[in-house]
Amino acid sequence: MRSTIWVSAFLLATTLAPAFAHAEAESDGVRSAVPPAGATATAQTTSPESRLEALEKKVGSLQDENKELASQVSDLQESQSQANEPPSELGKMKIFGFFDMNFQKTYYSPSNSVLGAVLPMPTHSTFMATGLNVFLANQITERLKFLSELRFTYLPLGNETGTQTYVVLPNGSTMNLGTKYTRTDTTVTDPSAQIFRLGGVGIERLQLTYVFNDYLAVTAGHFLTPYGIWNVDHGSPVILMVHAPIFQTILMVPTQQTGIQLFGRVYLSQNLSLDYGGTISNGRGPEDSVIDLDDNKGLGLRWHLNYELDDFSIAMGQYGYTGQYTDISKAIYSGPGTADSSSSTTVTEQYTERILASDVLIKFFGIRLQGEAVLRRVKYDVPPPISPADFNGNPALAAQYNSASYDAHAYYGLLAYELPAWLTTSKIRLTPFVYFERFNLNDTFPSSANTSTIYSGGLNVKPCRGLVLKVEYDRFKGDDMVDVLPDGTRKTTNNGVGQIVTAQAAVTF
Amino acid sequence: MKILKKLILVALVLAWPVHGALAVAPNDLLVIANKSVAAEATDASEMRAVFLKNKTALGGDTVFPLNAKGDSDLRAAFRKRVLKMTDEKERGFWDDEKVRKGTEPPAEVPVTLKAVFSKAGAVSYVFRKDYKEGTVKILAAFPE
Repeated sequence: MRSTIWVSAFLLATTLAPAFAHAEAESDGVRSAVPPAGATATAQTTSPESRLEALEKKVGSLQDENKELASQVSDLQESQSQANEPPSELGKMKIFGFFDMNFQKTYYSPSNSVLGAVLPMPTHSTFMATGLNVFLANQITERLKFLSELRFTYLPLGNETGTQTYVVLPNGSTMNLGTKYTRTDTTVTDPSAQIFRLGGVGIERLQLTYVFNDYLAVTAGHFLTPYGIWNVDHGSPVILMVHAPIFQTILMVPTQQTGIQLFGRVYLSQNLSLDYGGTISNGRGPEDSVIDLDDNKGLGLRWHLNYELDDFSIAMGQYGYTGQYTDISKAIYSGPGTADSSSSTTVTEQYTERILASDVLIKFFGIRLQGEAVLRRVKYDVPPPISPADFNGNPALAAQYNSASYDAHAYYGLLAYELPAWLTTSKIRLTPFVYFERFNLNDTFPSSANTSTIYSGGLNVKPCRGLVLKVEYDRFKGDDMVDVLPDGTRKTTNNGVGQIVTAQAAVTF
Repeated sequence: MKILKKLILVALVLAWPVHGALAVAPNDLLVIANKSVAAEATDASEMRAVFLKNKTALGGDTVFPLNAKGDSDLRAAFRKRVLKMTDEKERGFWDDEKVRKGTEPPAEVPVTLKAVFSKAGAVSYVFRKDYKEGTVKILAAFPE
């Protein structure tokens, strides 16, 4: 009982103390302004109703204050979010690229082999700076991207545009096949009499890509044809070897196209994905990156299957293409009167081509097994013109050279092994490789340049980031089956063997 | 005796979450996403595809991968447990991708948790010890 009394007294005291303090504070605030009679009024306001009213007012003001504070917190969170947001990459122009330098020596056996004149590889040891590829890339929005790749090159300086070709007849006389040796010289003199040599700029890629989602994206412009492995890898720092397959260098498949490319990817399972795509372009032509000289668009379809595990992956795919090549000449005819004026366009060369390119790439525990094959069928509607002087007026030879249609095929296999880190005892990556290639670029006109076999071997070294060093040995031999004259007087020719030793440094920046 | 039984029971109940806590280590790698991302879960292969820019969506939502700084322990853990790559391999991969496709690696941010919290669609990773409850969504966990 006694304790209850003490607890009640304590509670009463703690409850009333703030009221007394409040009343004292209020009275302090009004002491000078309010006459003592006001004390009676103050006492009156402490009635329960007035206290409730005061408390309600206070709660209302506290609620307002709470809203204000909540708003301030929200603003602070917003500003904090903006401060934390990662720096946007949108709209920033990025510049990067690559270049390579080569040292090369080519040996021909016999030294006067036809190959030495037909192939562009120099017979003397040569340092070559083949070009500088500069990329300009801009992620304009989250889904829209611009990419261009410019190749700065010393070309066309030194570009061999023709080889003077003779056939030695059985009677010992020589027959000129109507050709002559020509080479481009870009030497110019500026107004201050300074002599220098002009180079060139090639636009490798110029494209705008919009990504709708993983299943569909569209690229418009000048893009790399999505075929094979080599063409997709594209640049010397990425490609394992120095020399590209012949079907790549002679453009058996158009390397680039101007038009539209649709592509996408679907995941069939956790590790299996299917890439697909289609291209519609100007196709191939003498100036296809600028103007299409016919209405038949080049059409292509692509599929590529990828299966990937940690230490094993396999990828395979195909690209099919069909298109029409057209070249024209234009003429204007003017008569005596305006009404007689007219113009005409003549198709000077036209063919339809169908191409199928296949590829497979298997990687497991550092081993890389890669292969590509290309089949091409060309059907001429309008063969290229030949003047009566060509082939010394030999219509049979001319007819053979201008075969209406032909098939071509090429394939290669590449085996490489990236040595494990414990073998190299450093961060240097060493990848030795061997390579085999076989091609027939025109089954109706076999020659050393058209039908050959290539064996290669070498080493790819990556000593540090951004630098790739390569050494490579290539041995190629044209088939000895040149059926130069249809009358059988010259059936075979020993075309010899070519061997190339090349060292390359490829740099990305 | 009854009191003793109750004490044992209480001890067992208290011990249960302690046992669970042993499975979640502070250096577990959590794949996190902004709350705007609808996906509730992911796996290593999907994250690999997203961070190598082969895949741009999770559960139908476009996502933006954000990497930790290249020399951080967090990035090293992500490389090892998710990308299954060494530092050198990852750098080499992006050097090659730039030449092939003109594609650059995901942006790097100093504090992945804050960046993912702030950017709609962002996906990244964080050590469990640095995770703050309620800030972002956890899509996957990769133990140390």
